[in-house]
Parts: sequence; structure tokens; C-alpha cells
Amino acid sequence: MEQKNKQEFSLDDLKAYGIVMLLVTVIIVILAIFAIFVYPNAIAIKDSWSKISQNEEQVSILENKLAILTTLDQNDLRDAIERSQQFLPAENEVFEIMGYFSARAQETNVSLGDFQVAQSELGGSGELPLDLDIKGTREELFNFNKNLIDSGRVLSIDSLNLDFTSKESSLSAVLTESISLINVSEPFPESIGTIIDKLPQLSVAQKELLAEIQLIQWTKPQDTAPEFTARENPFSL
Amino acid sequence: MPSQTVNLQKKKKNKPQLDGLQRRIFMVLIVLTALLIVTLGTMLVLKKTIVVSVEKQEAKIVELSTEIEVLKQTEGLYLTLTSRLETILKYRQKQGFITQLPEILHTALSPYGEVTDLSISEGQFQFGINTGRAKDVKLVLQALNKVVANLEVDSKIIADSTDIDDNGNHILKLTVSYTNGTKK
Repeated sequence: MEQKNKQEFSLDDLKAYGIVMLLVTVIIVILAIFAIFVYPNAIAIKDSWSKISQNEEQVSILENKLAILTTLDQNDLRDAIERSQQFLPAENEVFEIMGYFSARAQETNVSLGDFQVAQSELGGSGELPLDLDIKGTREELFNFNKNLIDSGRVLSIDSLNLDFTSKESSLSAVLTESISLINVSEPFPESIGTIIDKLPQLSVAQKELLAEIQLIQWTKPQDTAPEFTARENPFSL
Repeated sequence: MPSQTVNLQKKKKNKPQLDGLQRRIFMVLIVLTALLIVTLGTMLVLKKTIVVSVEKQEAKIVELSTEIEVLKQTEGLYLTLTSRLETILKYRQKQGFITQLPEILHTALSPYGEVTDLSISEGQFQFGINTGRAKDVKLVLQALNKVVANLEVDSKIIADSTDIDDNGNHILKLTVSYTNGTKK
């Protein structure tokens, strides 16, 4: 009786161990399936999902870009750029700037005094600081100032001094005006960026300015327009 | 001997409880395995769908890029023009204000006296005005307040002082500050 009980006890134990082993194996198999199949797929789906939203944005940018570009005419754009050259030249040429002020002075009968370029690097891009002295009657100086604005060229005027030391109240008294200004130029871009860069929409102010540029009296220069090739530089020859 | 009998009885009583627990564990394992298989299946289907969708999008990007590439010259010209327009607009306002100010002041203040000198720099302008009599100083300040209120930029009188010259004329010195940008 005692032996039979011992045998029964051993069989139950063996069965229990077998079940535990089976359970452990099944759990290991489940974990292995998770590690080998589920986890990498979940990561792949997550990546693809974020790629979908990135692609959606790209498609939207490209569609928008295409919609804008298909409405534009190259000849109109070239014409507008060439016209804008007299507002904003592509190069900071000092002789050309001197010629510009000389022409404005002649138009308004003022005499140009000192003309100083505060930057030694000529023909550089961007901003070129200048100092300018003008002599004339009050009316002539006011006309010169008006002419400077109306001609539209981009000049950032930093300071202006009107010297009334003659103490003469009449309009015919000769006065001196000193202007410190920056002549602004903007070179043609070296690159137009990547294909997925957003294309800006013209603002209301920009549209108005464009209309103004297109209305001005302008004689087309004899030189041929720059040839627009290569994505890297639309102005390269 | 009596203690062994008790143990056997306990074992006999425990056996059905263990079987029930085993059944529950097996059920849980079966459910987990089923869930795993379903999840894996869904995942594979989802992955395939997403991959197809990404491929379609990429094909569309390539197609649009090709169309845009053809229009690259137009794009370059358009970008150049928009950039130039933006630069012109950026500088225009300040240019207009400083060059117009001498005439604006002269027109507004000449009935009260002559502007003796004028200096305009970043953020402020100063000038003197020969008002003659002392009582005209108040009139000049009133006129200047009107000018300041009508300027296109935010501005205010920040200092004033009066000198009397050898002839007894009152010379008013004024300093006005202004901020760049249009008035709000």
C-alpha cells in the first residue's frame, strides 16, 4: 500500500513537471514569434506611416508648386526682373551709383558735394554704405529728396542732416544736406533650392509693387537677357 | 502511519483543483496564441497596404518632380522676382519717411518760424525753430503735435528746450522719437 502511494506520487510529479515544461515552451514560442515577427513589423509599419505623412506633405507642396508654375510666363517674368533692375540692381557698382546720383542732381539743379563710399570692397553684393553731400536751395533739396524716393531705387537712408547755418529764411538761400545711406543690391541666386522647397505666393503688397514695376517707363537694354539654364543657377550662361 | 493517510487524502482533494488551473492556463495560452496569429495577420495585411500606398505616393512625387523639373527655369525666375520684390518692399518705407520729413516739417511749421537745422537719425530727429516771440512757442508745440500725430510712423516729442538769442528771439529745440514700421 505504502509502495503504491509512493509510485502514484512520482507519476503526478512527472505530469506536473511535463505541464510546466510545456507551458514554458509555449510562452517562449509566443515571445519568440513576437520578437521575430510582430516587433519588426510594428516598427516597419510605424516608419511607413510617418513616411506616408511626409510624402503627403511633399505631394501637396509639389502640386501647389506646379499649379503656380503652370500659370506663369517666362517672358513676363524676365521682363519684370529686368525692369526691377532699376529698383534693385544685381550688382553694387560704385560708378553706376555715382551716375545715378549725378542724374538725380541734374534733374533737380542741386550740386553734388562729397561722395564717399564707406566700404572698400567694390562691386560686392548686399549693402554698400555711402555718404552724400548736396547743396541747393530749400526747394531744390526738397525736390531732390522727392526725386530720390520717386525714382524707386532701393536706398536705405540712415540719417539726414539739413544745415541752415546761413540763417536765411528765403527759399533761395543755399543750404547743405548730408545723407548717409546704404545702396542695396541683390545678386541673382546661385541656386534655386531643392525641388521640394515651397514656392512663395505673392502677397498683396508684392502684387501691387509688381504692377507698379510693370507700369514704369522703361527702355529695354540692348544687351541680351541672361540665359536661364541649369537648376543650380538659373542665371548662369 | 496516520500522518501518511492524511497526506494522501489532501492529494486526492487537490487533484481536481490543479486540473482546473491547468485548463485555465491552457485556455489563456490558446487565446494568446490566437490573438498573436490574428495580430500578425492584420499586421502583414496593413504593412502590405501601407507599402503599396507609399509606392503610389513616391510614384506621384517622381511624376510631379519631373513636371516641375521641366519648369525649372520658370521656377528660378519666379523665385528671383519674389525675392527682389520682398527686398524692395523691406527698404521702401524707411526711405520714404526720412526723405519726406524735412518738407513735412517745413510745410507745417513755417507759419510759426524758420526751422534752423534738422538732424534725422535712427529712431529720432532733432531740429530747432526760431519762433521769435515767447508766446509763439506754445503755437509751435501745438503745430508739432499735429505733425507728429499725422506721421506715418509711431512718434512722440521726447524733449524740448528754449534758448533766447542776442536779438531776443526764442529758439525752440525739439527732439522727437519715432519707431520704424507703420503706425498701428
